[in-house]
Amino acid sequence: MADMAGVIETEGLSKRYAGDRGILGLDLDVERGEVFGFLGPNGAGKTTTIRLLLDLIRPTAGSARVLGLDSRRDSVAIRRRCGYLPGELSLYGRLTGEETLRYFAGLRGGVDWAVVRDFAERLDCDLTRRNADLSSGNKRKLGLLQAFMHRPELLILDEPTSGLDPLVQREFYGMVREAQAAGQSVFLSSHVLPEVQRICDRVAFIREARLVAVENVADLVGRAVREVEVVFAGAVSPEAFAALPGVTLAEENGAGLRLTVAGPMDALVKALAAHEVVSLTSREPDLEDVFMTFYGERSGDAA
Amino acid sequence: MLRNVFLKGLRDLRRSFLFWALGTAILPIWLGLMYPSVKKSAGVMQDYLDNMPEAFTNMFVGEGGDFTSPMGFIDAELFSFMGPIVLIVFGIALAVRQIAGEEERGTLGLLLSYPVSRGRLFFEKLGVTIAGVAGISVVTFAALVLGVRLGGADLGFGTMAAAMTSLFLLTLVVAAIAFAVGAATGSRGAAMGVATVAAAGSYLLNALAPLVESLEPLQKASLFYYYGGTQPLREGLQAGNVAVLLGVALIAVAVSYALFARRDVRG
Repeated sequence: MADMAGVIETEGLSKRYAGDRGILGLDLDVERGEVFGFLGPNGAGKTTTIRLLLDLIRPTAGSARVLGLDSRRDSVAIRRRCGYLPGELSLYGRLTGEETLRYFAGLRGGVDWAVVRDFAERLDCDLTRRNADLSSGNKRKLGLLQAFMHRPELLILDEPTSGLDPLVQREFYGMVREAQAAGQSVFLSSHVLPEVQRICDRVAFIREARLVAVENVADLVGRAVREVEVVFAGAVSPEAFAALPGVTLAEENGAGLRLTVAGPMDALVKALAAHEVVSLTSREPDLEDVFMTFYGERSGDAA
Repeated sequence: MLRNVFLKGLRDLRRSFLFWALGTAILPIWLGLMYPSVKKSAGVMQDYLDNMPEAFTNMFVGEGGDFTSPMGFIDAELFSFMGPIVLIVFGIALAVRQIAGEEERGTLGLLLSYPVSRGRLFFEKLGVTIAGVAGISVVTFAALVLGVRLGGADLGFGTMAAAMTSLFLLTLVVAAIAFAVGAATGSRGAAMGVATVAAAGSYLLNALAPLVESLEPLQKASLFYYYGGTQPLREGLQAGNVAVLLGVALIAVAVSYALFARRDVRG
């Protein structure tokens, strides 16, 4: 039965800090073999939740099971089978990368060093340098390596790509896909939607210590929200665009318009074609806009 | 040297221990070599001391101390003040680095994400502290034996070993308090503060209690009272004192462990 259970199950998990910060009444179910994104603005409670799962901090209410085990009572057994990357990573400054990994590997009772070498090469980690001399990006790479090196059943990664350059980010996405193919589960937090859309199967949105929604990423893509900025050669009437399906007018200044588009872009592109367009830019909106578009109108009954 | 928390702790200690050992060894050797000339000018020294205020001699020489005997001289110059200061500073610095230091540096969270229980971490880190204090005590003792031999002072090995054991235990208690407060609070500052107050307060209390009537009943609250005050060589090692010092250390560690196992960890 334990194998059938989810890798992370929480029931009313709460850690209340002053001013209703932390995480409150979290009910979450992460399935085995899943890559699960935990998305929310900074300070929403992502790190708090992760630290509760690892028994670094203790809940004020509720409980959590990780890999079918109680997060409080069986914490050591859980940690044996997990790999963790902290959001704020500190390493022993005087040790080299290799010494750091030897120490951590020893605490796990030994790790296949060929795997370590392989990951080090892929992430382009120089293991001979002292941690104190590493840039923050290189420290993060070492952090990823120690989380992945024993091929754990569950990877718990707090903001894994923050501070990584794009090339390493891509390598990391590859590592996550391979882990999933090998049957490992991944729970990662992020505050950028595109990243979560790219690698996760499901995503939980949290805001102000509460779970807002859990969505399949495949469903989200069809409802993608983009921000479009258009500058016209002459004056146009913005109302014509705002009337299009899925389009809302965000800002108007002279010949320029800023629009939010939910769903397909087709109608807007065709309407724009009737005018002389000087410039057209489209970008992913920030997380607050996504929340507003997805959940703004039903935030009252979402929880 | 990186196989577990204890061994890594010893490894981290290597370099600083070397410097501390060298620094600590100088005093006992120098005192041993000095002794013959102190003995020669015995009369002058004793006159000088006899003219000092009682509070002063109480603090630095010991009550009714005979400064010019080998025991009186080493008690006054090493065991009454300098020895405890040096070893206690070493012990506190080492103890607060363990759990509180690791937590303030931000590495404790990652370490505790490994399959290491709070208990194992606590006791391995405590082990590093005890090993460090024992190590510096052994170095001090070796230097004392060497100095006394070189200077030809008439001081028995057993007497010195007994006094050194007292000093080891005193240092151990203060280090245990520092370690305990550090593990319970995660704050190096708090750990250092409490341990320093315990050590300095104990010292002053023990020295001043015989002179100030209102303080007299409090003397037994001083750790230095169980150390042998300012004259551990002359007092020797007493089972009751050993029990009190070890008991205080054990209580501090036990309370701290209960708190550390329950509290939230930062970093």
